[in-house]
Amino acid sequence: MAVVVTVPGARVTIEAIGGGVYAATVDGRRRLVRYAKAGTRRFIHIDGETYVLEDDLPVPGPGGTRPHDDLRAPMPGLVTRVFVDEGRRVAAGDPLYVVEAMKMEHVVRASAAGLVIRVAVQPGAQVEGGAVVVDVDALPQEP
Amino acid sequence: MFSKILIANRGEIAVRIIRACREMGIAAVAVYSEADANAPHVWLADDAIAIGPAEAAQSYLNVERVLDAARQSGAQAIHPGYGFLAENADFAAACGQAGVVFIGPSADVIRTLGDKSKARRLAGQAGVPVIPAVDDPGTGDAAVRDAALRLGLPVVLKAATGGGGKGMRIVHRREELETAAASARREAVAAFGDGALVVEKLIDRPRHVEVQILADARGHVIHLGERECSIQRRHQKVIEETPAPAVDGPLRDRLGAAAVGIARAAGYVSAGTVEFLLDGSGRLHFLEMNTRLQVEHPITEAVTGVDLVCAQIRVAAGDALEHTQTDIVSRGHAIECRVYAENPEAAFAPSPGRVLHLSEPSLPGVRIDTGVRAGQDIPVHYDPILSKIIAWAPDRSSAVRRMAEALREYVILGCETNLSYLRAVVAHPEFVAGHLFTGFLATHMGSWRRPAAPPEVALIAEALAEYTAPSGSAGAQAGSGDHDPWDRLRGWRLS
Repeated sequence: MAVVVTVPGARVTIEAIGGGVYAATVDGRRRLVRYAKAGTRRFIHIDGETYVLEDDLPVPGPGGTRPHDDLRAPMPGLVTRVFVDEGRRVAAGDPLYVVEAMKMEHVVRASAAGLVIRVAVQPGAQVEGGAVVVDVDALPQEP
Repeated sequence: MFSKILIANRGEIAVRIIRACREMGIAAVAVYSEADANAPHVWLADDAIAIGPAEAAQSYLNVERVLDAARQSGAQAIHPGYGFLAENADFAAACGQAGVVFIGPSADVIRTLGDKSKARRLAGQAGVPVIPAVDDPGTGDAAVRDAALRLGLPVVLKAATGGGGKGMRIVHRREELETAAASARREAVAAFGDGALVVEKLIDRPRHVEVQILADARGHVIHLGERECSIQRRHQKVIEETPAPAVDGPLRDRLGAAAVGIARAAGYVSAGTVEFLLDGSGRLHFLEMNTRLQVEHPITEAVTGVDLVCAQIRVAAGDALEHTQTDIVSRGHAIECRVYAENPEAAFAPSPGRVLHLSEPSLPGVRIDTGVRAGQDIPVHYDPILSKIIAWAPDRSSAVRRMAEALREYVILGCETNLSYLRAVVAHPEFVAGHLFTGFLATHMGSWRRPAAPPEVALIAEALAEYTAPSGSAGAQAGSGDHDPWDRLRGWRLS
């Protein structure tokens, strides 16, 4: 059964073939699509390429600022070390904390010079991928 | 010959070994942790025994539990696969004491070759050049720093025991030495239970070339040619191929002779791999010998037609090798891509999850060694390898094209994988040209980003999100036809 779905900007015809496989037609072009949704992530495979679409979930930090995405835990795992305290100045490249998972140790480093404004997690804590562990507020450039 | 073998491993390698047992008419016993109760290797085996909680230290790495399972099942031999207990000399010795054959070399040989400094001395005695190194820098990060400075930067810090790139750091700057040593040490302790480090001089732009050997207990040692494994991330191999693009006939003979010489000097029995770095001027440097089956063994199988797992089992049962050196003829070209549950955009961070959709390529000359199935959870506790694609073709460029098509047709949804990344690597002009070195990925792929969804794909994804939205979630009135499929078609109409 083909169903037309109206989304902003287009009409897409979807036919469920079964087992997560669909035929999708846009502008007269019919393509085989594999699709699955896991939590906030949607996976779509089309024309040999897999795309991962992340639903945006802005997480406000203290003072309403958004924590730096590049400082978030890169994977779910155990925080084994936290190198900094709140209020400490860090330089670009300074290690902030270590997450360990699947026997791999990942050191998260400051992407720019700044001030540690938040240490949300202590060593020994298990975190989800994307969790805020340490947040750094960029310092104004020295003149 | 054995009638029952226990496989002390999980994932794709356990599956591969169980299949070899089945072919040989040997019953296969799987072991599994709580996280793997429904994993493919459990269902494929003739018998399966639970050995403990998800944490590897309490299950797959627990010598007593594995040996208990062997006793309980009546297995006469244990195949350790790779990783976990495969290069653990104490485990090999404990197998002997328990009256079970360890499918691999003896505990003494594992101990000697697993000690990088002893292995280096052995290679030197066999006349094989080694990398300048400080084998015993002493304990403490300051001692490691001093050793590195004596040797001259840049250097590589490595775990003294164990392999697989874990506990390994390249250091270019003096001020990074102590932090790198501490971090390598922690990783080494976590992976191998031993924080001892060795310091090696860094060879610039090397190729990683290794030689597969097979040896029996009757003094026969042969080699099955080389593999090039220069495509690495985090010092772990991602793509391997054979023959190595930079190795010609005379160099192949030298490599083979060096590998066989080291295996003989060590008194080696079983399948093993001698690893070398090949520098820009074609000089060989012995790196280490891996006393186990390698992840990348299938490419050697593809070009030689020799089943390395069956050969290991026969040798462990006391049989002589089935082949002599002159029997070994390499035909065509084979490439392997390792498929990992990881995010190449986030420094290859592991990406566990549930496999929601799986579709494997099926092409002429393509073999898939896999340890996952649709619906399975990828546990966070183990190495993130999902499967391996092995593509064979008569020549390298055809093998590269075949691999590209296999990667195109391989679909895994539900966790991040490196499939898109692998596609980009095998399409890279420098890869196609065979210009490989161990820094290839860092140099050529460092700025890689997953292709953004084109507008049409985004539209289709939006439409599918609407189409698959759970019934009633978008404001359907309770009791007003929850079971009516038309109810969730608000705003839609039939074509």
